[in-house]
Formats: sequence, C-alpha cells, structure tokens
Amino acid sequence: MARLDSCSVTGGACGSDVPAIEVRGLSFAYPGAEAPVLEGLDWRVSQGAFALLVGGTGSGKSTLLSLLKPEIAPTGERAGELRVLGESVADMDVRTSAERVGYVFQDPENQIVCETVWHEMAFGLENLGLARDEMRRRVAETSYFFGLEDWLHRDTDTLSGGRKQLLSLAAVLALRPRVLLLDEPTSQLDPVAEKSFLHALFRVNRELGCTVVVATHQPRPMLEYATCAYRIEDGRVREVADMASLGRRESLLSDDMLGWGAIRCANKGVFSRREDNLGSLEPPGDVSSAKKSSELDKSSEFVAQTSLENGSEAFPRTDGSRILQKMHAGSATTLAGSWFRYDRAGGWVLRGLDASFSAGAVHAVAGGNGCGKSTMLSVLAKTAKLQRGRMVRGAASAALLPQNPKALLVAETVRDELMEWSSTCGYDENLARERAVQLGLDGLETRHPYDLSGGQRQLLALAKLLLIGPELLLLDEPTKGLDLESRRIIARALRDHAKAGGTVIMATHDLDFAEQVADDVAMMFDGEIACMEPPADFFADNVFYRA
Amino acid sequence: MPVDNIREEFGNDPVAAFSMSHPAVPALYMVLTLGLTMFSMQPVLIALSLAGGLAYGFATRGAARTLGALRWQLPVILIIALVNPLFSASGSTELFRIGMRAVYLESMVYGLCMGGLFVASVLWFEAAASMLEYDKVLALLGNAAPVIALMISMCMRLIPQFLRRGRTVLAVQDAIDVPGRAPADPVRSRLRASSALMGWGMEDSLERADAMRSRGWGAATRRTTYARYRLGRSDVAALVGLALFGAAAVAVAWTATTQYSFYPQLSVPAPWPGYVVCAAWMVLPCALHAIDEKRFG
Amino acid sequence: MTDYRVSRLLAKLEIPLLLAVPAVMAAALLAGVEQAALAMLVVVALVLALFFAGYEASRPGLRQIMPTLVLAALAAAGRILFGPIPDFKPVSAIAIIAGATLGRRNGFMVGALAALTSNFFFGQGMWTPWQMYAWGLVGYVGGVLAYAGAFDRADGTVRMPALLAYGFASGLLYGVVINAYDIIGFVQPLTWAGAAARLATAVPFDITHGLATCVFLAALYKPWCRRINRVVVKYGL
Repeated sequence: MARLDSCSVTGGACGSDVPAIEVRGLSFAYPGAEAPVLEGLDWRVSQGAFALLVGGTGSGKSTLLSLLKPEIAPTGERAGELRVLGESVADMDVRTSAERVGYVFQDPENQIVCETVWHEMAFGLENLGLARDEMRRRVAETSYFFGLEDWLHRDTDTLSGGRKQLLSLAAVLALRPRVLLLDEPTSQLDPVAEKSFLHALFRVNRELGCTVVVATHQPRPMLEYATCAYRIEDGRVREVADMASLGRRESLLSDDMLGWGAIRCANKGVFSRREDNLGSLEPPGDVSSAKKSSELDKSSEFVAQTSLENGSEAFPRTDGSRILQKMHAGSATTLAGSWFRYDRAGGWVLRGLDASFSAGAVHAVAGGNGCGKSTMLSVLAKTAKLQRGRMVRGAASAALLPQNPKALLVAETVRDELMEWSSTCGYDENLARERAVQLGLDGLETRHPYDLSGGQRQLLALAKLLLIGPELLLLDEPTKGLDLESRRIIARALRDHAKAGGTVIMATHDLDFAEQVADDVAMMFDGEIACMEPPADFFADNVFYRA
Repeated sequence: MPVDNIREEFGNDPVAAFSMSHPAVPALYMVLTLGLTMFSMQPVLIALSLAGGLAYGFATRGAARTLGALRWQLPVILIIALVNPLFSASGSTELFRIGMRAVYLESMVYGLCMGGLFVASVLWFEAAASMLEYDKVLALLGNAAPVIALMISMCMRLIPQFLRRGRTVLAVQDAIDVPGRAPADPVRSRLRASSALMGWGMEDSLERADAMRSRGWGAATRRTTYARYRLGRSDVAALVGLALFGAAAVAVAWTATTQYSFYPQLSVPAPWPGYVVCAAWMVLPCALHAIDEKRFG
Repeated sequence: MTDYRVSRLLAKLEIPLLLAVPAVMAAALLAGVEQAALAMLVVVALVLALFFAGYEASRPGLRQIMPTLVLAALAAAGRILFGPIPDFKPVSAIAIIAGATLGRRNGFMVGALAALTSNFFFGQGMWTPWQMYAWGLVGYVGGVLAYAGAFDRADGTVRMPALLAYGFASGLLYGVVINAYDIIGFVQPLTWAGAAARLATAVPFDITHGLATCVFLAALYKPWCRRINRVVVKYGL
C-alpha cells in the first residue's frame, strides 16, 4: 500500500506543516446538561503523530473525538472551530469525512456490520459507490497489509475479539484515511491481542504515515508507540510533558485495606491446592508445598480468617453485604480430575484439572484466550457438566457475573434492575439502595441501564448479583475495559465479600488487579492449572507473564 | 465453541455442483429445473426429475440426510399420494371398492404422480440451497437491491451473535443458585432471555449505526456491491449453453405433458428419444459433481 | 427523482400486491389450474420481489433499517432458541410488535427477513417464499391494526383482548396461507375429504402457533414497544 501522505490521494491543502487536527476555542454541552463537557478547548496534533488522549470516564474524550466526525457528532450546544488537515470539519460531507478521517470504536462486537470478513472490508467501499474493480484492489491490498488473507472467508462472528478489532481497523483503512481516531480500541481485548493490535496500529502510523489519535484511560501499553500525549481535564486539553508518568501503576485498594494486604503476604496458606487423594507425597519442586498438607491448610485458613477480622467476632456482616448461611471456613470449592469438552468433535477444554478454592478468599485465575478459564467458571456455576471428575461446591449459593454485564440487564431503570429478584431471593428495597450506594450507583436509580457508562453498568450487574447473597461469586473478566474508579470499587466489593466469608473466583486478564486484590493467582494453561500461588510469589516467579 | 459452527450444525454442504461458476449459472439451472419439475405432470418426466433430485442429494449429502430431510413432509406426501385419490371418484378402471366407494387406477396413479412431483420439488429446492449459498444470493441481488442485500447480510451476522448471547443469558440465569429458589421454567426463562437480548441488540445497534455512518453510509446516491464473482467468458458460454439445453428440455416437457392424460383413461407413455434430453438435464448436476469428485478425489 | 416516483408507485401498489396472492389462490382453486403450484409460486415470488423493490426504492434511513433488522434477526434467533419447545415460535409476535412500533412496512420486512434468514439454518425450500409472505403479512396487518388504534389506548395502556385476539388470529392467518398453498398446489384433484385430511394434520399446529403468539404478545408487547420507541427516538437525535 502506498504511503497515504501524498496529496494526490485526497486532494486539498495538506502540506506537512498543516496540522492533522486543529481545534480552537471549542465548547460543547449536551442538551439539558448543567455544565459543558468541553470549554474553551484548544488542541493541535501534527501530521504523522501517534497521539494519546488520556482522561477519566466522562472527561469528554469520546465527545471530542466524535466532534471531529460530523456524521457521528452528538447533538448539543457547540462553539469554536475544528479543522482536520486544514479543512473545516463543518464543511465536510459524509464522503469526505469517511475518506479522510477513520474512526475505530471501542467494542469489537458492535462495529462489525457484515457477516463475512471480506464483506466487512468492502462495506465502506460499497457505501462510497466504488466500482467493483477498485474495491477488489483495495480489499486485496488491505488484506495483505494486515495479513488477514487466511481468514478472509470466515464468518465475522467466529473471530476472536482481537481479530474482530483488527478487522475493524482494516475495514476503516480500506477507505485510506489520513487521520485515524480510535476510542478505547483495546479496552475489550486481552493483553496479547492488545499488543498485536497496537503493533498493527504502529505500522499504520509509521509505514503509511497515517496520523493516529488514541483515546484511552489505560495508556501504559501504548507508551512505547506514542509520540505525544494529551490529557483532557475540566473541559480542556493539555499536553503531557512527562510521558513516562502515564506508565505509573495506580493502587486499587485504599489505605484502610492496606493492613489487610500485609496479613495476606504473611499468610501464604489462605489458598489451598487440592492434593491427590491417595498420596500425601508432595509434588517435587513445589516450593511452598510444605505448607499444603490439609492440616496446615485449615489452620492457616483459620489464621487468615481471624486475623482478617482483627480479633472481632467470627463473621461480622460488613455494611450491606449479605451472604446466605453456611459460611464455614473450611468449605472449599474443589475440582478433582475434571475433564470437559463441548462436543465430541471438539477437543478437551478441561484436561484433568485439579483445584481447590477456599472460602473467605479472592481467587484469580489468569491465562490466555481459550485456556479454559470461562469453561471452568461454567462448570463451577453448574451450567456445564463435567464428563469425568468431580466438582464439590462448598457453598450453598452461587452466582456468575458474565463478561458482558448486558447479559444481566432486563429492566428499564436501575432501581427495577436491582429489584428484579427481590421476591424470589428475598431482599427489600432498603438493601438494594444500600448496595447501590456501596457500589457507587447512588443518584442513578431512575436512569436507564443502557444510559450508564460501561463501568457503571458493570457495577450495576455486580450489585444485582451481590443482592441475592451468593456465597460463591464467580466473575468472568470483572474489570474488562473499566476505568480506575470502577476498578477500585470492584476491588473493594470483592474484598468485602471475601471478608464476610464468601468465596470469590474470577477469571481475569487484568494482572494488575489480580496482584493487588487476589489472595492467590492461578495460571491456567491447556485445560489445567499450571501453578497457583499467592500474588507475590506468582509474580516473582513469572518471567514473561507479569502485571 | 459449539456455537461457532452453527451453520455447519444445521447442514450446509460446501461441496456443490457449479461451485466454480458465477452464481448466475446455478441460478439459471435451478429456475429452469424447478419450473420443469413443477410444470410436468407426466409420469416419466416426474420419475426423471425425482431420480435426478435424489441422485444429487445422495451424491452430495448422503442418503440418510437426504431422506431424513423429507420426514417432515411425510403427512403431506401421504395425503397427496394416497388419501386424496381414495376420495376422488374419477377414472374408468376400477381397482377395488371400500364400502360404497370405488377406487380407480387412474386416480391412484394421479395421486402417486402428484406425490412424486411434490417430493421432487422439495429435493430440488434443497439442491438449490446447496448450490446457491446466501453469499451467492447476495451477489445476484447485487446492485439491484443493495439495501436489502445488506440487510440480509447483517441479519446473518446477528443471528449467531444473538444465539451465543442468548445462551449466555440463559446460563447466567441458571447459574443463580439460591436455596429455596425454584428452578426457572423453560418458557419463562426464555421469554426473559429474549427480552434481555432485544434490549442488548437494540442498544448495540445504535453504536453499529455510528460505525456505519463513520464509514460513509449514505455517501453515494447508490451503493455498489462487492462481489467475489466475476462473470467470465466461460460463464457466459455456460449460460448460453444452459439456456439452449433448457429450451430443448422445456419443449420436450411441453410436448410430453400436453399429449398425456390421466382421465378418463390412463395413457401409456411410449418410448421416445425426447426423454433423453430431459434425463440428461436432470442428471447434469450429479454428473458435474461426479466429474469434480474424480478430479479432486 | 425516478427512485422517488417508483417508490410512490410501489407504495400505492402495496395492498393490491399483498391481495394478489389470495386472489391467485382463489383463481387457481376455482379454475382448477393443473400447474397451480408453479403458478402460485411465481406470483408469490413476484409479490415479494416487488415489495422489496418498493422498500429499497423508499431509501429507508438507518432509523428504519437498524431496528427492523435487529428484530428480524431476533425473530430468527428466537425461532432457533425456542426450538426445544415445539411450535412455540416468536416470529409472528415479533413481526406484530415491529408493525406496531415501526409501521406496517417494517412489520412486513421483519416477518419476511426472519423467515428467509432463519431458513438458511433450518433449510430452504419452496415453503420459504410462502413463509416469508405469511409472516410478512402477519406483521403488515399488525401494523395496520396498531396504527388504526386497535391495540393501544390513548392513555398508553394496551387493549389486551384485541391484541391477543389478533395474536391468535395471526396463527390461523399464517396457517391459512401455508395450508392453502399445500392444498391448492398439490392436493389434486381437489376433494373436500382430501383437503380436510390435510387440514386435520395442520390445524393443531396452527392453534399451538396462535396460542404461542398470544403468550409472547402478552409478555412482550408492552415492554418491547417501550424499548423500541426509546431506541427509535435516539436514532432521531
């Protein structure tokens, strides 16, 4: 593919001294909002840059980006001037905008339009009414650039999230834009897919000379590619002078929880790995195995439990948390010799998996895509049945938080959503309100669940599940795509749940979260648990796989 | 994951005759074949069509699946072939009597032919579905109805997504295990699941619409359609050949059908070289398939 | 400009087109055409083609296209998802809801598209155009009735009896179309007894279908209409 910075491609004034994006005195307010989102904003991105735009949820990152695409710009009060490659955005029609400015959205599921990969690539070209021969050429060229020719005939629905997002990027690039705007493009991807997406984006930037602007609240993985960064705050944009500062890891648990953290490090035995029923021989090479005989297990669990409570009564109910009866410290949830596959034709997803998850603790399960994490959760949730082996659930009640919280939403207001199971699971409105406050949802009771931000929606789903009081709480990627604030609330809620005696098992790619919140981290690989250790040991022993 | 190959589960065989041609070629063949089959109320022609349809089904999908697909049609076939003639008292050659009713050979044969015609058309429709997968249908709709073509494509994209999501919603519902809570009733839980899916799908469509707009939706006064198929010289030749061949077959079928009568007395079909044309037409896809198999097998 | 004229013309032809199918059926029935199956198939295919052409020519916007195809895909997926419960199909109910919220044309499109796309999974056949027509008609009539105020009162409440009556009738309407093509097309020579035997095999299914549609409408009509309207309003912004 030829470099796109030659003026002949799109025409217009585009000498390299013209900035790719130039915004002057931009103010924007949503209809009915009290305060404007953007106010007197000035911003300039030069051509060929790989720019990051950071800022928290609701800071106006997406609003700013979409204002640069008139056909998707939100309605509202607007003042100021926006120019892309020297041309005023207000003067751009749909065609010009599509040809000059590409836009990649957050959710890989929702921006794919067509049923097959080749058709998706051609979609934008069809919209512009290009001739078939020209379309063929562009689809071919773009496929080669991204190396998608192997899956050109696949159904888009069968692709992994990472590939879907790569396809979305390719489909936008087939239009040959000179400026590419991306709104949280990797927030729904696992770390490996994120890397390969960012690498592709980097090639688009360097090899094609396309200006790239990425809005994100997790800039860390992008720092090595970015040439500049901007922070959006209080309706204005400032350049971030010290880009390295964006790589800092934030602490998730507040100070009053730190005391607990210290105890956790001292007590490695909070988790327990199930030993073979027959042999009491310890597996060779397992450093901490000495502490893992079942005797010690129980006692160390007990130590952990009691020290957690700082000597107070056995299981005090922390405010709002409500767990159904049968909260014995020793009631672990175990999997022994578990084999599972979805059908005869498919391979085994779980291959003789052994694991034990003690009560009163948060267990994280990490591992790549397709390693069987979600399947293990389904088995624990009893929605999938083992073909061989045994699952013992040491909990009277359970609930599963799926990857996408939308799978839990049926009502039209947050309040109705929280009250959906009140009669069948026995809780009242006061408790629901209390939970909502605890998870940072206060003041949102009358909002439609789909009008919430992604983070708020995840918190709503979690609140809804916590209300039924499940002793065993299973979570699939609970922090996917969430901003710092929501991750903190979830961290806190999970710790509280464990503190009250519940068992928390989460499958996650968020190693940072696992390290700070979990009592132990297991690495799943090839249908088995490859290792299971407290976070400190886990991350100390890992060479490649770290937070 | 099981959902990924849902379309294979429901049985779409990729091996089909005319797979190397532009979709217009199988489309022309299928239109003519279906027309011939449904038009020709004549025992020999029906037998030929039935044989051709069965042979193609057996060759591409195997006997079990071909016959298995017919089982839902069985009541209709029985009524057409057997029950109805019992009640239609026309004809001249009495076979036997049930009570006061005479059963005539003519109406029996007529019923059997009608049943055979029905089965043959069902078989050929199945053949058509295997030769014209929906991306080929889209290519044919092409520039004539770009919006409808796109809507079909988007539906086909959404259905597996909704199925997968539907299973997730049901699984999350089933995973809620609280002592004393009654297990969900299948109708109620599926109703809830479809509501959740509707909300989910509708709200997501807003974002998808933005993704469409940002890629130039509505920019051109008329969309074009990308098609993987090019109408080459050999396709044109095949179309012309098929049209001539088809015209001959139609002429034969017309002659044979108009000369034939069931009532008042069954005419006995005589051997006639014209039938060879029809037989050749009906066996064509099966033959093409066999040639293909030989070349690659 | 020509598009606009074609669209106006086809919009005017909509109802005559939909009536053409029963008219041809009646003609075939009375005249006793031998190739009735072929003749009716050609007519129904033509009617569907013209209806689609009219939709295409009206240059529908995203606010019509997107909700329509989401509902169509949902109906198709529902047909598969409810597969374990025999003859419990949500397609009619969803087509009616689409007709009531998005207008009769989109109601037709939802029914027709759902039949067409779900048959890529269940198996295409000569029944496909008939199912497309029958479910399309159910949605279309649903839209006409809803816009005449048959289902909703001015104060926003639903006239449940009317809605359920149409829901049940729609099961029969669907059955009439599908059975009529079977009987007129293939039960020949047509006798009362033969037709009755064919009907006897089909009526229980049609009644189940009608009742299932009632269940779906009773449970889904109101919440779904609200949600669809909410999204349609958002498309307008």
